[in-house]
Amino acid sequence: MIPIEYFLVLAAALFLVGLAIVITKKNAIVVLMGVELMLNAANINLVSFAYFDPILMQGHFLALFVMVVAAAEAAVGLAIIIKVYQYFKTSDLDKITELKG
Amino acid sequence: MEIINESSYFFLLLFLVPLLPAAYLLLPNAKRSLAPVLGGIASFTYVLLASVLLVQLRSDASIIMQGAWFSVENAFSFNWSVEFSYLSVVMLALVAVVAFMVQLFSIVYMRNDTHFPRFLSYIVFFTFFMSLLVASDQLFLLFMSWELVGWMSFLLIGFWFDKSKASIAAKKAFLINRVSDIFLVLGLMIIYYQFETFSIREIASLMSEQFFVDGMWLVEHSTHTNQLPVTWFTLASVMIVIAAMGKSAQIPFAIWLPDAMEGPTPASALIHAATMVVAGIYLLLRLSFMLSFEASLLAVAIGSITAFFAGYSAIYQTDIKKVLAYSTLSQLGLMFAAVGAGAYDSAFYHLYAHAFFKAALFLIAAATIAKAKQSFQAANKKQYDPQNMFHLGGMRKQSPFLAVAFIVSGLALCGFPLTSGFISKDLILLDLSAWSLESSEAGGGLIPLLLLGFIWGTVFLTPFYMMRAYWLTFEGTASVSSSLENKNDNRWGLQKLAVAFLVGMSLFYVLSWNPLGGTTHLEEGLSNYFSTAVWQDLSWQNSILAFKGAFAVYVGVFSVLLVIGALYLSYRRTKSEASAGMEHLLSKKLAFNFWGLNQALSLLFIVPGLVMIKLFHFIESKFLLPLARWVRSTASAGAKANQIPEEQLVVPLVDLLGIIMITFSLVVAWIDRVLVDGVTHFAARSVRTAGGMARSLQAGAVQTHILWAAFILLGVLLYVLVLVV
Repeated sequence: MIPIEYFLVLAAALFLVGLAIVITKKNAIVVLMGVELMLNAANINLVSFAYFDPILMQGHFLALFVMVVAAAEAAVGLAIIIKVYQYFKTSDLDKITELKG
Repeated sequence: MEIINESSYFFLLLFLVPLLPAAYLLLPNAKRSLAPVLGGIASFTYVLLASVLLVQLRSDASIIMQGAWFSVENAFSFNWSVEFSYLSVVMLALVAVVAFMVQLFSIVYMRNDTHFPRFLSYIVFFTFFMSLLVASDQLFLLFMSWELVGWMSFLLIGFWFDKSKASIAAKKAFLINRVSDIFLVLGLMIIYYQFETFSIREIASLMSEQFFVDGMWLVEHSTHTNQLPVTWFTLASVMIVIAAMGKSAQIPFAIWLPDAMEGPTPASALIHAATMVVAGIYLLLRLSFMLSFEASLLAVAIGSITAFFAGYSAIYQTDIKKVLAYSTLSQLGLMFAAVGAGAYDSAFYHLYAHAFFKAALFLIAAATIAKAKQSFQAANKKQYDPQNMFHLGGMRKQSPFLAVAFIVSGLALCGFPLTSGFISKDLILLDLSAWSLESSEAGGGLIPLLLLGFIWGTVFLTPFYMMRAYWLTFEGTASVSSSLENKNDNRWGLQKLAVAFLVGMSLFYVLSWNPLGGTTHLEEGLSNYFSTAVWQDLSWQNSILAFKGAFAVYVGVFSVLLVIGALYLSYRRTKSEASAGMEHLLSKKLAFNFWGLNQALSLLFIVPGLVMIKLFHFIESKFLLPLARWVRSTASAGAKANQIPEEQLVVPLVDLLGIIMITFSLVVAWIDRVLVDGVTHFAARSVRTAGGMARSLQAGAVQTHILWAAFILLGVLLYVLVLVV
């Protein structure tokens, strides 16, 4: 049996990669991809804990829910990005500073 | 004897409450319309607190509150302690009442000033600091409030800080007071070394453990005995007297008080006449048990000299406020002399009586000046100075009320019968006469008699300058015929109330029901407070008492005759003076300028500094630089004469000097660049960095927000981890 720490370290690394992408990338679509990575890191956590709890399988189900929500979120997010792009004529997040001030 | 009540600390906090509205009034955007109400209520609170204390107090008890204050490295711990004894409560009530009256007066008088709320606030703060000074039992606390009232005096003298004369006068008062305060610090050091406590009450109780044996000053504590040569005892008490001389403006420190008249007149009434300047005398009264024979002698000498010469200067003043200022100096001198002669109770009676009538006189002067200013402006006579008595004149017709008030309080100042001044001045005269005759007999020779002459001279001078001031200001022909008479200001009533109250407080019943003296209201309480002076032995006391019993009536009658005579002489002289105008005064410049004391002091202390600077400059330009040139030329000449190439002798010398200079300047430059500039740059950069970080939050960039969110989350997680694990 693989110790749970391995999964957790993997998930944390994946989460941090996602966070780094979200914080540093200019393109809104890439940022959205970072968000997906973070969600999947959470999924890995859920599944790996469920792996040690084979009877109720709560983790697996929650992971499935996350996937569904992530798919919906990606769809909505992409739609928003398209609208943002139409409005600002750019998808560079550094240039979208309407909240400034 | 004393009640120490821990639960009544709450009561002390009440003294802080009026500071809240006062602090609000200091704010730049404080509402002007609120200022009279807040200032008036704040001042009235002190009157209430003082009257509560006055009612609570039995004459033989004193309420003491104390607590830990601070400690230095656990070795020395200091308590604050506050004592409401009979003396301090009466003084507290005096301060509160006079301050409240001045506040009422200022509410009207200062209402058009740009900084009106600030003025009322200062008065409240001053009242608090003065109450602290009066009530504090701990010398360190007393010293602190001593400085704080000095600070308030500085602020109020320089209240119109855009007037250069006022700000210079404020600085002068502050700095001269610092000089005398150094002596207080030194005196306190000696006291602490010997008594190991700052509490006046504890020091007083340790006085019974104090002995003078074989030229040593011993103080026995429970575990050990502290000893110093007796000189240190003398030194400590002389230093306390010098500190009091500074605060109470005695010669040679006296020069700050006439200049302090640049401040607003109500402030002069409160601080530079009634309360703060008597703090020196109050300090001596509190520490009366510490006054050695030498210190007492110093006090009598300084006091009577100041009384006489300030009184003499008052005769030649043209500014009505200056007359009152010199008169204050003179009266303070009388009190000082009385303290020195061991007549502590008489000194306090005079302090008490003087506070009311002098505050009244100042407020009357303020109202007169304001009225004159109005009529001068109305008549468009800008060249007339409303404070100059030769330009005033005829004010009685404009305001009979002020004239009558001036007469009554002026007579109180002169010591005319039926006034409080008569009673207190009479007692002082009796005490000082007894002192001087006894010490002259005990080997003092002529000096005590000379000092007594000064004192009696002051009694003659006081009515003289008061009559002159009255005549020049209120009688005679008005220089400007006023058209403002019928323009009734409805707010004038508040001013009238304050003046009338203070004038009412300058009549005999304030001190005693008997208009000719006898036992005073304060006598019973104060007799528990003051013992006889340390240097008076039993036979001395008996002969003083015998003298007083025998001569009391003569002294009283003689002083009244002197007052009446002086009033008459002054009346005759002033009439001719008023018609002669100001010109004849020029011949009396010495007295007009207070005997050149200012110039003498600057000659003594400031000119030497300037001379030193000139001297150093002279040495450098006429001596050092030629020397350097001479060294260079002789060296090159010597090199020539000895056939040594010039490079071998002169150049290495010059080079060495150059290297030293360059190294030195490099070090200085490094210090300047790295340390001095570095600190500044670091400060500037860290502010800029912090600003940039804070600014990035508002830059509208989503990703920065996320970054911040991540950081904060991390922080929270770390915190939880540390807390839980």
